[in-house]
This record gives sequence, structure tokens and C-alpha cells, in this order.
Amino acid sequence: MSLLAPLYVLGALAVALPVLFHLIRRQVKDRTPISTIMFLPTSQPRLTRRSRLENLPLLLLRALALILLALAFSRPFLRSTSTAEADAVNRRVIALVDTSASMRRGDLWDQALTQLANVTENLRPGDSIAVVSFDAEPRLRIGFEAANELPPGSLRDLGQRLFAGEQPSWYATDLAAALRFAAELATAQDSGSTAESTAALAAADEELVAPAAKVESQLVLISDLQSGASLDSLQGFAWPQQVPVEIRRVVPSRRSNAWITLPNEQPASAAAGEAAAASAARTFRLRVSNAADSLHSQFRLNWLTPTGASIPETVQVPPGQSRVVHVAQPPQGALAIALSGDDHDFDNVRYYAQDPPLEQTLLFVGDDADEPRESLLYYLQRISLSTPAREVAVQRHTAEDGPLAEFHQERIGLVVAAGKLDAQAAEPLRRFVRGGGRLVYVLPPAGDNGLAESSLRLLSGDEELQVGEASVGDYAMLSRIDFTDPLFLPLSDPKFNDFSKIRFWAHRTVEAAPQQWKTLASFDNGWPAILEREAGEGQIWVFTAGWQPVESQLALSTKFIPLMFGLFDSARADVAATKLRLGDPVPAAAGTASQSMVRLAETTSGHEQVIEAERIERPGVYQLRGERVTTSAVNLAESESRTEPLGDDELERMGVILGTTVPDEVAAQTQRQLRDVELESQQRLWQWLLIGVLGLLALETWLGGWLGRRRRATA
Amino acid sequence: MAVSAAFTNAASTSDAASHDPHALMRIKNLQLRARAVVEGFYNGLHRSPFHGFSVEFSEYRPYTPGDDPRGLDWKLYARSDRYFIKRFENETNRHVYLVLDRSRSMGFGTLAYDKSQYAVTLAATLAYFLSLQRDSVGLLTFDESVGEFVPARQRPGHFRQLMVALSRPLAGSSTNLDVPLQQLAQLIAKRGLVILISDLLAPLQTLQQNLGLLRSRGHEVMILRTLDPGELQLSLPGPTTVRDMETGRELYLDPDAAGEQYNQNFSAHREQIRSICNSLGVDLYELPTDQPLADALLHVVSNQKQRSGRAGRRGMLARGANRGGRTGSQGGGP
Repeated sequence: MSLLAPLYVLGALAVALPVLFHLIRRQVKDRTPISTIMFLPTSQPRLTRRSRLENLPLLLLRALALILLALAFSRPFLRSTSTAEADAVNRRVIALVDTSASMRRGDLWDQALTQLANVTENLRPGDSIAVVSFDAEPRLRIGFEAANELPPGSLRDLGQRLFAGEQPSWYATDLAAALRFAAELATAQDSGSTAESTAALAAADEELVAPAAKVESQLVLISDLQSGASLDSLQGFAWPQQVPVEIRRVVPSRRSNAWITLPNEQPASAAAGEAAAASAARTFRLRVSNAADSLHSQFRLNWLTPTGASIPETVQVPPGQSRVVHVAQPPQGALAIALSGDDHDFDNVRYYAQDPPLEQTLLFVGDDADEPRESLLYYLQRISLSTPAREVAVQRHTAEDGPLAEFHQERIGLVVAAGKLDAQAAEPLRRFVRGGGRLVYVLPPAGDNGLAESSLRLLSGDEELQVGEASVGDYAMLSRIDFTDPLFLPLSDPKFNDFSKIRFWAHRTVEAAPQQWKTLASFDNGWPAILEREAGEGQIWVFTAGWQPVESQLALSTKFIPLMFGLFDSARADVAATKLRLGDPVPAAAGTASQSMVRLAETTSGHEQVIEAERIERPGVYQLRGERVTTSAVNLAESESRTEPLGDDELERMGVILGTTVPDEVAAQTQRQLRDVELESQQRLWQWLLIGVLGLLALETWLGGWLGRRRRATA
Repeated sequence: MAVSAAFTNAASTSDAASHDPHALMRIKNLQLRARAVVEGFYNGLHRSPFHGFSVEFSEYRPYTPGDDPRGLDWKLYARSDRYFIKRFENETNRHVYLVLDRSRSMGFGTLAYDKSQYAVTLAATLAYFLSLQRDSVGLLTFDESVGEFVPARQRPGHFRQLMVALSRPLAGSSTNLDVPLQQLAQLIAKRGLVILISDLLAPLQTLQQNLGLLRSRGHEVMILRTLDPGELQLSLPGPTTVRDMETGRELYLDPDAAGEQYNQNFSAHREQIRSICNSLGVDLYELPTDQPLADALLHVVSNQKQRSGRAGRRGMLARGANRGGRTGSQGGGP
């Protein structure tokens, strides 16, 4: 028998007290006067034959009634063995271990391994565990089945064996992907176990055996939860109700962190002008950011070269802010710039690939007016398309220059054609486009005997195209723009996507365009403004209106330069594709006799390292050496440098259900208590005990009266 | 006849009261109680085998109106045709001092009355009896100090004065035998009889000295020790806490364990008192409160007889040597 409120049983002990006091000391309240005590000795109370309990049966009845009453208050119940076994709850624990670059700070990695060891040590018999590590993508280290097959007792040091000798990677943190992966792993297991437990319960009912223990899933997230971790993909993910997440946060002892962002990592259109200005001033422009919880604000920057470091320069950046600073130009051979003065150095080195600027040309072909208001070229020449990675020259080819020669794809970044094009002039342009070039054709006014239409047909090869002149009242505006297209994507931000202020005084109409033509922008009258077509390996953009002031305000708007950069940068996609990033596969040809991937040493203590791995796994300056040497700077993702801790509410906002792992003993005890309360409420033994008490009291009353009557009769 | 019948009825009532202390104590008036005892005693004298034994005839005196008709000698009247009253030996003019213990210990009692009531009644009885014998009776009450003192007189109204003094309530605390005996020795000029009525439940270190002082002054001393039956034999229903009535001290008592020791101590105290009295020639009589008060009168009369049977007053020591002291716990002749 078990008791729900065992403390009430102590009330039964009170029965012994008056009996004991009665035997030990029969203290008489009344004082008997006596003439003198001079003849009396002092005597101690002792139990004699006369000092015995009287009416023993009555005393026993009363004592028994008190005991039963105390027992009734203690709420007894009978607990069967089957219910005891059903208290057991098995758990499926999925440990998510953060192995991203931010875990390289201080002793975070050791803390993470300690937390993992704590999880495995608290596993009970019947529990199972799976371990998933994550950085940019989740990776299952060991599943439930494999862990269950391990020898008993070996789970305690599972973390040590799985991550022996490992250090965190250099990748960014995609926390959302890791959580989704773990949640799907848990629900996949739960659905299987639910079916098993349902079948077991059915079998238990039939065979009257103890039901199987319940299974619960639990995610244990071991991470520093830095604010740079990606959580976007959790939006819209329905988090399973039965999978709570326990956060085991690892916290560094020091938290100040600052990092560098280089110009080539910033939007080129925004940085180009400033970069040019910095170049002119013989300084190098970069951005230094300081974490919001940082305690330091003064840092030092110096260039790293294989021959030594440069003299450090001091910068001041308050916590939570970033500053664009101008430092000295990188010395010859500089491969990285280092920051010092914060507490964590995992992100302090920013690698810099000093490729010589690629010389490129923007070629203008066709007729153009001399008057600036009527000239297309005039405004092209006013755009500085040069960046530290390229030098762009604007050239013009006129009819006087003779027929167009074959274009070198890599040198001609973009061809802008305007005016009428005859077959002789159009053919090289067509070959250029089919070979991968980029061509922008500005339709001339359609009133020139259909020359615009013929020119367009010659360039595109589409004979169905019909070009006319639109009838514009006061002006036309751009109304519909495809911001998903890479040309307009940079301008999709609400701060930049208002094109309604640009007025067009005249434009052509293009109709009957085949399906290959895509309208990127349309006027408010419905006619297309900018069309795009892929031709061969290249692309053609057609502007139905010029950007010069005589036709529109486009050249004078703030959208013109980004548009031109977008047109020119799209032409550099293939060049950009050669730039490496962390996690990118090493080119297949590397490692052969003809080509090799080498990681350059940025300091005097380093050395070149030939890469034999399949992927780029660490930041650095890599050179692909073959027929051509391509140098790429591979840097840590900037998001990993944002080390301010995320609040737990961020995860809850994303729909993640948080829950603390209740210690095993507490959980089992809680479950047992709930079951005991239910059992006691069903059995209600206290009612029978109270009936017994009433019966005893009735018997005691009758016996007391009978004894009293007999005593009186005897007297 | 009517006188005889009334005399007979009164005699029967007095007989009952004199022989049953419970019946006696139901008489609320102290003087009536005393009278009942004395009258019952006289009636007993006529029927008692001790008649004429303890009370010796001394002389005749003519009858005067107011005398007790029971004292008439009818044989002499038959011979002389004149009424004469028999005058007994004890009808002598003595000074008798009743020394009455009024301490709180006298307030103890296991009967329907306590020792103090018994002792007061005894003192009143003796006073009445002695007054009838034309003795001068004085009274001295004491507890830790002297209370009332009434000089010995024998005049009208004196008995009433004694009754008034005896009727005052018990107010004393402890018992001090030294003070009253010493003071009495100083106050009494004429030799007489000192009757000490007390329970003597006090230390006895100076009792012999004080009694010897009285004896050296030529007084005769008689001690009537009044004790409750519950004191003679410790009787408690069971373990209890007892409280000394004089000191207030409390004591937890288990009668099973303490009874034997009490008896031993009490007997030793009693023997010590007897030894003192024997050495000084003091008559000691124990009067349990459940015994008839008339027995005390017998003791007094017996004492008078012995005194008169001696050849004059030969002094305390010779008398004590001849008699060897006489003590008794009950009334009775030699």
C-alpha cells in the first residue's frame, strides 16, 4: 500500500503520547493538603502494579480509531506493478551541435563538447540519441539505430569519439536548416514509434500485460546562438508540437568582436565611386564593424604580406556601429589585412586578392548625335564603370572606322548599338552575341523608313518583329517592371524601385515579338520599354526609347548608372564565376599536372599549401595555376562575425517550441505522482477507513456505557 | 416523673453525643457540644464500671437551688431527710490552663471535621467540666506565636469568655511550641494544671526544655495529643501531590513507596515525645479524632485521682520516679 499524503500518518503517533504520559507520570492536578510532610520521604514516580492502565479495551479501541483516521487522511492506495512499469518514459534525444566558425571563439568548442557529454551522461536505459552537427548545412553524425547498437556504457563518451580531434569549421551558420533537419528527423522517428506503441498497447490489452513505455522526442541545441545565424527558412515551417527544443547556450567569457569588410564584398555600384576616390587619394577603403555588445572601440589594422606586416593603423569604431575607414594602400604582395584589439581573432583576417584590373571596353556602335541632349554616348562616357577589379574604357565605332572586327569576348564587356544597322554591321554583332557577348540596342526613331525595324530584325534574327513609333501625349512613364530579373533586382528595394519620376517623351513600339523575348519594363501605355532576349550564349537588350534627354529623363535619373552597371556586370558573370567561396568545390582540373590549387601564405610564418581536398574549407588566398593564374580571396561569411547572442524569443518567434529538459528523476517522479493521484481517486480507500473509524467509535461508545453500568452495579 | 423523663431524654442524647464524635460535631454551638459531652460523661459515671473509681467522694455539702440534682445523695436523704450534694474529690479550686494549638496543621482532617474542631470542642468540654468543679480555667491559644490568652478565673461569665476565645477561626500558620510554653511559665504565678492540646507535629528539640520549665515551676502538665486517623496511618488513594498545610511545600507522593517510611518516622517521633514526657512526668494521652471526647474527661479525672492519692506535693522528680510517667492513647484507669 502506498500513501498519497504520508505526513498525516504522523498523526497516529499522537496516540502513544497520552498513553506514555499516563504511564510515566500520573501528575495529579489536585493538591491534597496534609498536616505535615515531616514524616514523608520524597519519592519518584514509578510504575507499580497499581499504576496501570485501566479500561484497556476502551483505550485500544480509541487508539485504533485514531490510527485509522490518520491513515484515512494520508490517502492510501494500492499501486500495481503494471502501473509502476508504465511510469517509465523513454526519450529520443537529438543533439544539435554547432560547428560553425563563430564556435572558434575562446573555449566555446570545449563548452559544446562538455554539454554534449552532459546530455549523453543523463541518458537513461531505454533512451536513444542521435547527434547532428551543423554549420552551413546539417550533417547527421550518428543516428538512433547506430547509437542503439553501440555497446552499453559507451554512450557516455559518444561526443568525444564523434568529434575527436575536430575543430569548428569556417562556414557560416544556417540554424534554420539545422533545426528543420532535426525536427524532421524527430517526427520521422515519432511516427514510426507511435505506430509501434499503438500496436503494443493493443497487444497489451489483449494479453493483459504491462503496456510499453511512452516515447518522447527532445531536441538539445548546443550553440552560441549568434545573431548572424540564418533563421529565415524557419518562417513558414510548422514546428511539430511534440518536439520541444532545449537550448544549451555556450557563452564566451569575453564578447568584444570587430571585423573588416572589403570593397569587393560590397555592392560594386555603391562602392565604385568611393573606391575610385580612394584610389585617387592613394588610400584603401574598407569598412570596420564593431559588435553591439563589444567593450572595445579602438582597433588596429595592418596589411599582411609573406614578407612581413605593415605598420598598424588605429581606427575608432563605437560598439554597435561600423565605420568606413581609409587605410594605406596595400603594399606589394599583400594578401590580407588584419584587425587587432578585440577579444576574438577568428574573423580578424580579411583576405585580399590583388588581381590586376581587367581591361575591358564598352563599345558604342552606331550613329550618335553630337549634341549632348541628343547623344547616347555622351552619357555613357560620363559613367565610370571602372572598379578595382576592372578598367573600363568607352570606345566608339563608327562607319568611318570600317567594318567591325571580331570581338574578343573578354575584352568587350558590353556593346551598345544605336541607330540603323545594315547587314554588314549587324552580322559581327550577332556573332558576338551568339558567342556570349552582351548587346544593348537602342531603337532609333521609327520614322526613318523602317530602319529601326530592319536593324532589330538583323540583330535578333526575328523577322516577325514589328517596330513602330508610339504616340505619346505629354510623356510616358515606366509602370510595370520585372524586379525579379537580375537587371532590376538590385533596384527592387522600396527605397529604389520608384521609376515613376522618369518621363519618356518618345518611344518605339515593338510587337509580334516571339516568345523568346522577355519584357523587363513596360510603359504606362502598355508598350514595352526594355526587352531582353537570349541569343546563343549571349543576350540582347532592346531599349525602345533612348536615355538622352531628347527622348527621356533616364540618363539624368538616379536609375541610369545602376542600370548600366547591371548591364555591364551581367556581362561579367562568367568572370565572377571563377571567384571562389568557402565550401566551393575545388575545380576538377586542379590536382593534375596541368593545374593546381594552392593556398598562399599571408604571413612570414606561413607557407603555400597545395589543396588536395575536394572543397575550399578555410579562408585564404587561393590560386588556380594552370594556363592562366586565377587568384581568389576566400573569406569568412560576414554573418559569422555578428556575434551578439540571439534571444530565445527569436526562435519562439519563428515557431520553435522551447522546453527545458526535466531531470530524469523529477520527470519520473512527476509522472508517478500524477499516476498515484489518479489511482487514489479511483480506489478511494479513505472512505472505507472512515467507515471503520465510525464503527470503532460506535463500538467504543457501547463498550464504555456497558462498562460504566457494570461498575455502578458492582458499587 | 416528668423531670425524670426529661432527664432521661437529655441523658440519652448526651450519651450519644459523648460517645459519637460525628454526632457531637453536628451540634453547631460549641457550648452545647461541651455540655453534651460533660453530661454524657456524668451519666456514664453512674453506669460506668469506673463509677466511684476515678472520682472519689470527698465531702457533702448542703443542696442549694441551682445545683445539679444528679449530685444528690439519696441515701443520705433517706437517713437525714435533708438534701445534700456529694462533693467529689475533683471539686477543688485549681488553676487549669488549657493550651490549645491553633496552627494550620490542626486544620487537617479526614473525617467530617478536622482536628481543630475536635480540639476546640475538647477544650470547651474541659473548660466546662472544670468550671463545674469550681476550677479556675484559663486559655492560651498559639500557632507560631501566642494568640489568645485568657487568665484563669472562676466567676460568672468567664466560661462564656472562654467560649468566645475558642470560637475564633483558625488563622495560624506554623507551629511553635516554645513560645506558648515559655510565656505561660512566665504568666502563671500559681501552680496549676497545664493541659496542652496539640498534635505536636513540630520539631521536638526544645519541647523537653519547655516542658521541664513548667514542671520546675511546680505545674502539672498533661498533653492531649489530637491526631487524625489519617495521620496515624497514612491513607492516600494513590500517587498524588501533597501540600504541607503549614509550609505550603508540595511533594509528589506515592503511598505505596512512602507508607512504610512514614510509619517509621511517625513512630520515632511518637516515641521521642513519650520519652520526653516520661522523663518529665508529663501525662501524655493520644486522642484520635474519631474517639469520644469523654475519654479526655476520664484522663483528667484519672489525673486528679492520682494527684490526690499521693502524699502531698512531693515534687516533680519524686513523683515522676514513683510513677515512671504515665502515657496512654486511650482513656482508661490505671
